[in-house]
Amino acid sequence: MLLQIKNLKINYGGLDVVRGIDLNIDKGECVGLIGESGCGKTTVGLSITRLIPERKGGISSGEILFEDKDILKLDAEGLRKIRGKKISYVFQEPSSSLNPVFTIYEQIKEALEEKDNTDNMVAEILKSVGLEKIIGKKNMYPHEFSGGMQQRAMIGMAIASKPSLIVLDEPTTALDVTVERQILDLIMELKNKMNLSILFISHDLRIVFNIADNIGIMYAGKIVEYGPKEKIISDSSHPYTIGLVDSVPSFKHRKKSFNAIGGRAPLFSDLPKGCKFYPRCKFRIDRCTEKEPELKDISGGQASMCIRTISAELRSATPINGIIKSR
Amino acid sequence: MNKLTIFGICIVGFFIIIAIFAPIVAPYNPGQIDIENILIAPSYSHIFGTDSLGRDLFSRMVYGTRISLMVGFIAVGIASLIGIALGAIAGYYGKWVDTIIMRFIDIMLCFPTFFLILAVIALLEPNIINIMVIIGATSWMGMARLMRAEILSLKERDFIYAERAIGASDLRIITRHLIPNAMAPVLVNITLGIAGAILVESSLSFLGIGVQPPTPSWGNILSEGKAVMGAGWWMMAFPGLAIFVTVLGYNLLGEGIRGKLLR
Amino acid sequence: MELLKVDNLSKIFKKHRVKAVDDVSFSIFKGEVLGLVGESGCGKSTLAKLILRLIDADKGNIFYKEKDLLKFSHGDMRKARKDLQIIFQDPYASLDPMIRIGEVIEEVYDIHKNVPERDRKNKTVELLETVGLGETYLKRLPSELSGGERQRVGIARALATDPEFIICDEPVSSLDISIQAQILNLLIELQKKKNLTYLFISHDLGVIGSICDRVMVMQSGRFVEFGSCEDVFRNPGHEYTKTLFKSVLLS
Repeated sequence: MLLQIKNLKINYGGLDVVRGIDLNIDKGECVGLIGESGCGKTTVGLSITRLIPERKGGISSGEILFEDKDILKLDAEGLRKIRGKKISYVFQEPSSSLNPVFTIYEQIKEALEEKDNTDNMVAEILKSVGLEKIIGKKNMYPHEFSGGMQQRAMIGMAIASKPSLIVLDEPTTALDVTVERQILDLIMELKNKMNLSILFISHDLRIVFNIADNIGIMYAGKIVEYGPKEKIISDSSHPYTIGLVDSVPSFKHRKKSFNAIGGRAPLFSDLPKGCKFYPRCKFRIDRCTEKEPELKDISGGQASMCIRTISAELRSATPINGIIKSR
Repeated sequence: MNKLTIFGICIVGFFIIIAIFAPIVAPYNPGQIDIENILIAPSYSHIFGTDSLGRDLFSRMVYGTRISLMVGFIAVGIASLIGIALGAIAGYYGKWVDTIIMRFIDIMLCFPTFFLILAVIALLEPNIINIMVIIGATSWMGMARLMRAEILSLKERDFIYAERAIGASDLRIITRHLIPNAMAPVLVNITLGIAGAILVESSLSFLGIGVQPPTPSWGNILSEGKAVMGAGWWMMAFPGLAIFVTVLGYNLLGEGIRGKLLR
Repeated sequence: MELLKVDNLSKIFKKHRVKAVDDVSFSIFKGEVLGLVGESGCGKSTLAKLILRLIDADKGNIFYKEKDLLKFSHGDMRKARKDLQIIFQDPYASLDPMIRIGEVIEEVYDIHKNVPERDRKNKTVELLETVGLGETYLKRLPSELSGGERQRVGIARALATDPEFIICDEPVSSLDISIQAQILNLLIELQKKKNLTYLFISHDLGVIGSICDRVMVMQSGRFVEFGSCEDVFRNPGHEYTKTLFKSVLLS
C-alpha cells in the first residue's frame, strides 16, 4: 500500500475540520475524493505533505504512512525528499500556480532532478503532456498560454520527477468543457503509462467518474461512503451520495424536478449531535440522532456510514415534507 | 488594531475635544492684554507663558486649535466634494468627459500649489474663509484621480451591470453604489489631507498672509515668536510642537486606515 | 407568440479587434426556455448584455413585442426593463457588497415605484420566501451568505418587477453540484408557475438538456447549430456540437 491515512484529524482556526479520515491508495490506483466546498477535502490533500500553514492550523492526530514511513514524523530533510519529488500536486488555477516571471521552459527544468535537467528531458516532458509545439521555444511565459496549455505545463512539472503519487485538486474546474475532457484524458494516459497513483479531489462526481478506481465521499469532515466507482454511482448506499448522484443534471431529467439535497452543509462550529447529515436527509429516523455512526463495510469493497439500508423502493418514493417514511 | 493607529486616534481626538471645549479649557481670555506681564516664561499662573502683549499663550493656543482644525476640515471637505465628484464623473462616463477632466487635472497639477495659493491670496484679502476655499480648490486633484481609478475598475463588475439592468439611473449608480465602494483609498487621502491643510494654513499665517492677528492661529503665534526668539523661546516651541503633534496624529490615523481598508 | 426577435446583431470590440457577436439572429417565443450553449469566449455573455442594452450594439435590431429596443428612448427603456431581466453567473460579484439584502430588493421598488412605500417590506419578505429565503435575510450583508443563497437573492431581484423574460447567464456554473440542483429546481418551478420565458445560457450540456426546449450552439460569435433539444441531443449535426457532446462526462 503506497499511501495509508489513518484516523487523520486536522484543526483549522480552533475547530476540527477533518474529524477522522481513513484512506488508502495503492500503487497505480486512482482514488477520487468528492465533497462540497468547505467539507475539508482540500485540507486532506494539503496535509499529505504537511502543506497547511502552521499559523492557520495543523494536524492534531493520526498517521500518514507513505511507503511505510510516517510523514508526520519526518524531519525537514526527509519531507523535502518527498515533496515535489515522490508526491506532487496540481492545483485548480494554473495561472496562479505558475510563476509569471519565469518562462515555462525554466519552470519545467526546475522541476526536473538536477542530474536530468537537460533540454532533451524538457522536450520529453513537453511531448508527454501534448505540448510538442513549444519544444525549443525557450522564451514563452505563462501568460502567453491558454488555460488548458497552462494546466498541461503544470502536469508536466508534476510528473517531471517521476513521482509515485500525484494529488490533483479540482484541476479542471477553471477550464472549458472541451479542454477539460482533453486534460482528463491526458491524466488517464499518464496514469497508465507511468503506473501513477492519484488522489483526485473534486466537488463534481462526473469528473471523477471516468478516471477513478475507487471514490470516497466526504461530508462534514468525515468520509461517509467509500467504494468502487460503479457501486458508488449506480448502487449508492449513503443518503448523501444518493442525493449527489440525483443532483447531476442531464437530458434525462427533461424539466422534471431534481431530487436536490435541500439546505446547506453545517458549520464546523455548530455540528448536530449524531449523524451530521441528519438535518438534510430524506431518509432520517429518530435513531440517527443518538450517536455519530461508524463507517461500516458493506460488500465488495464498499463502506457506508448510514445506519439504514436504503432499498431501491425507498429511494424512488416521493418525500412528504422532505422525509420518506418506510412502511 | 495597531498601537500606532490608536496613538494617532488619541491625538486627533484630543485636539478635537480641546477645540470644542475651548472656552472651558482656556483659563484666560485669549485677547486679554496685560502690559504688566509681558513675555513671562511658563509658570504656575501661565503654563505656556505670555506673549509680547501679555496675553496668556495657553489660552491663545487652545483657541488656535479651533482655527487649525476648522481650516483643516473645511478645506479638505471642499477638496473632497470637488475631487470625488469630478473623479466619479470622469471614471463613469469616460470618453470626452474623462479627457476634459483629466486634462484639467493635469493643468492644475502644473502649478506649484503653495505658490498658486500665495498668488491668489495676494489678489484677495487674507481671511479665514478665503484661505479655506483656496486650499480646498487647489488640493482636490489627487482624490479625483484615486476615485476615477477605483470607478474604472468597479464599473465593469457584475453588480453594476445588475443595477443598470433593474433600471437604476446613472446618478443612483454613481452615488449609491460606485462611490461608497470606492471610498477606501480616498478616506486615507482625506485624513492625510487634513494634516496637509493644517500645515498650509500654519505656513500662510506664519508668513503673515493667513489668519490675521488678533485672531490666534498656531501659525501667526509662531510668527510672533520668531520676532522675539531670544526673549521668549516658549512662543515658538509650543506652537511648533502643536503643529508637529497634530500632523503626526493625522498621518498615523491615515496610515492606520490604509492598513485596515486596503488589504 | 414571438416575444423577442433578434436580427443581425453584431458587436466588435475595437480594442481587441474581436468580433464578439457576429451577425446573430434568432427568435424566442413566450413561455419557452431557449438554451444557449458555448464555451468561454464564444460571445454568449456579450450577447446577453447586448439584448438588454447593457452594452451598445454596433449593428442589428432587437424586437421586443415587435418594437425595436435599440430605438427606445431612455425613459421607454427604463419601463421596458421591468419586463426584461437578467440573472448573473457569479454570486460573489452580482451583489453590491455594501448593501443589505432587504435594500437590494426594495431598491427595485424605489426605482420603478411599482409598490407603495408602506407595502415594500412585506412584498420583499414575500419575494424572499418565494426563492427559499426569509425575513431573517433582510438585514444581512452579502458577505454573510453562501454562494447558493446569494444566487437566490439575484433571482429574487430579477423577479421584483414581475418580468416576462429573464436571461439566465450561467446561473449555476459557479455553484457546487448539490447546490446547482437546488437552484435549477427553483428556476424550473418559477418558470412553470409564472409562465416565464428564459434565455438560458450555459456551457454545461447536462444543465441545458435538463431545462431547455430549444437550444442554440455558439462558437466564436456565431451560431453553428440550432434546433429543439430532442433533435440536437440525439443527433448533433455540426462538428463543434459533436465535440461538445464528446466532452460530456456522465449522463
